[in-house]
Amino acid sequence: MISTQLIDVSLLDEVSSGDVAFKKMMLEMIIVEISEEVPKMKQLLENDDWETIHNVSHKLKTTLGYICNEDICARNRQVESASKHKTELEISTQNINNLIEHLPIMLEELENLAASL
Amino acid sequence: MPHNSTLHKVLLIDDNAADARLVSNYLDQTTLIKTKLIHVTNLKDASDQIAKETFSVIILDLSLKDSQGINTLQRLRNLFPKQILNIIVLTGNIENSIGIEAIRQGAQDFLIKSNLDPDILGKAIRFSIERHQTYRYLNETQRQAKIGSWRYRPSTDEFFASDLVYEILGSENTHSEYLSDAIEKSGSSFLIFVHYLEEEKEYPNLHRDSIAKKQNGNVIHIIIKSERTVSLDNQIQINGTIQDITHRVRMEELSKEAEFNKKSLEVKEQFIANVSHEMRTPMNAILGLSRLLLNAELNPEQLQYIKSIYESSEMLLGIVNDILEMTSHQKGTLQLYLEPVNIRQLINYIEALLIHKIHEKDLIGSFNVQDEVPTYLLLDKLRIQQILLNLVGNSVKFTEKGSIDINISIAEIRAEDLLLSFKITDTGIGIPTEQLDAIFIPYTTVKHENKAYESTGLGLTIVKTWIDQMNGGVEVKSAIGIGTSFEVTIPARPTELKVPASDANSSPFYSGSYDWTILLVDDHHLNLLVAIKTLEKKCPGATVITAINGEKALEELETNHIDIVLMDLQMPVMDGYETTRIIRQSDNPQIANVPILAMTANAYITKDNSFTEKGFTDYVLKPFDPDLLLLKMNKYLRS
Repeated sequence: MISTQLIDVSLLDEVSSGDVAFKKMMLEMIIVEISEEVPKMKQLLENDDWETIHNVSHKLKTTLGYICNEDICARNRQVESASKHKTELEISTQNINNLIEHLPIMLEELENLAASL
Repeated sequence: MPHNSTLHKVLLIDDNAADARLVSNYLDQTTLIKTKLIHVTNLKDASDQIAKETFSVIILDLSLKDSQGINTLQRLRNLFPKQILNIIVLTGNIENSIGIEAIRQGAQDFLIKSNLDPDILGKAIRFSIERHQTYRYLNETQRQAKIGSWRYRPSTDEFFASDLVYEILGSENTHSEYLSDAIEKSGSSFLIFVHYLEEEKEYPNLHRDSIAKKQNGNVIHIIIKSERTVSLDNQIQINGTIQDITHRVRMEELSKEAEFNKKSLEVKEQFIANVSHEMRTPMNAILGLSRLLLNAELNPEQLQYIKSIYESSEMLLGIVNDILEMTSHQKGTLQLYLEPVNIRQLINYIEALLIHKIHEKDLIGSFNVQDEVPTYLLLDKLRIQQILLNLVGNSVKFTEKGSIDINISIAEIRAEDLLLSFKITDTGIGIPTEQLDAIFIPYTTVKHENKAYESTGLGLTIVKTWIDQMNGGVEVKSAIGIGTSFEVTIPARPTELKVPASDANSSPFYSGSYDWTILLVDDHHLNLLVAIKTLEKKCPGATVITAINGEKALEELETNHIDIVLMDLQMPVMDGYETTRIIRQSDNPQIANVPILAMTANAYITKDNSFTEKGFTDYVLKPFDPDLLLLKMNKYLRS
């Protein structure tokens, strides 16, 4: 069965080691970070500022690793790598748009998870 | 029957000197009771005497100069309505009818003068005293229980009610002999008997809880009940009691009211807690979506609206969380959980959480644990974290320039534990002196002239509750425009770290306490938190020092003995490559040779060994695999 969940918090669970308060706090910080960082990419894309896109995607790589499914993480990795080497930028553009498009759903899933803790 | 040694005072009221002499002689002769006789000849002198002293028995001749017949008894009793007099009637009439009438009117016994002898007199006095004592005891217990007794003869309407019946119904004792008479003299309060007896005709031995109106109009709750008997003269007689249960009913009503109020409060609190809990999900959605909108293309007006929505939502969420916390406190569901806590790691953790907020406001933050503080202490880690986050968070909120200093030291060393001091000092706006006493009261917010700070007024209340729960204390000093200092003191026992079996098993290499000092260098606060958490779990006992860029890392290396460095690569100010290069060039061999693990999210670092050429000992990929991190640290430290 294909999972429709955009988030996968198994790594976060592992580092939290059952510490619910820590997990909740991490989730809240991650929510703040991705809701600030991901939308920045839209403007950066319009400005063709691939260097900053690289920095943002690099910062997001660790964060997304704690909470996203492999598809999302892979898209961000592609953006990070391509923006560094200025290659496959069309694919990167698609991936950035995809990340921005999925952000509200990811946030909703994360916020529901945080609220349930 | 031998008498005991108690001397009973007897008052003889008789105007016949010969009779008095006779009674005196008989009393001297009787062996049944020891008496001291006082003799008076009229009711007035009797009254004076009774007013002066207490008599075990009064022997009353019904024919006195100042009173004649059965009325004499009634007059004597009326002289002392509040006392129960033990009266034996003395009569010259050889017919029993007068004596029987006297007993009906409250005399204990009657004696016929011509039948007297020492034994008869002695017995009569002794038995009357005993009956009288029993009667008084019964009367007293009835008074205490507020039970009055009454009797009624349906055939003649004859009625008797004890003093207490009159008292309960709020009337003077009229000594009425008929119910109709009692109603006439004592008012409508006695109608209760009419209603009761009407019902009793159909339901003999009726037990009725009822409401009666006293003569003064006050409503009382009573229990009235009776039993039917047949009297000596073969008449049906109804013997009953009436009990005033007003106090009991009121107490029950109050108890029910208190129970109802308690339940209402519980329901209200539960309702607030439920609503608050349910509010959190939509509040999070509003917050999340507002955050997204803040980054959208908006004109200044729209941006201001969204900022207001965001800030209001954040405040609402704070209120909701505080209410839930307070509800838990009020329900008493919070309990302390003491565990060995590495106080230095805990402060690092707080620093990692708050340092960005401090820097965002261009403030200087300093987090220090004094050397004399033992590393491991028995504390409730979660509560201490929450107290510090709350107090330091407040300092950040109320400080616009200057610094925030967090200092942990020992306030006092005691026999079995020590008093740990957490001092948070800021250079913020300060709290007006007249408001200092109120800051821990729920829903109290500090009012400042120049600026409004939104607050639920619950944060410090919650902090104080936790501190109290830990038998700690808190002291606040503040000066307007200079700053505020909170000093929290918590009793804590130094402890050796005991590694739980499950934690020990989770490490494939080492099952004891780690004495490493690890320098963690990363600008990403999430990474810092996760790394601290991971090291806390995987390397119990280790001390973790954090730095948010290469420059800070070099400072830490100069001032601390560092066993291993976990180095992020991309950082502002000075990145991981440059920092590592400088470390390797250090003149201090201890610094130059320190193992450095590169922490990177770039898998390409694994493609060749270029990282070793750049001075790194090894690498760990982010996000961390905790076991792999430990494996590598063990590799370079245990060897």
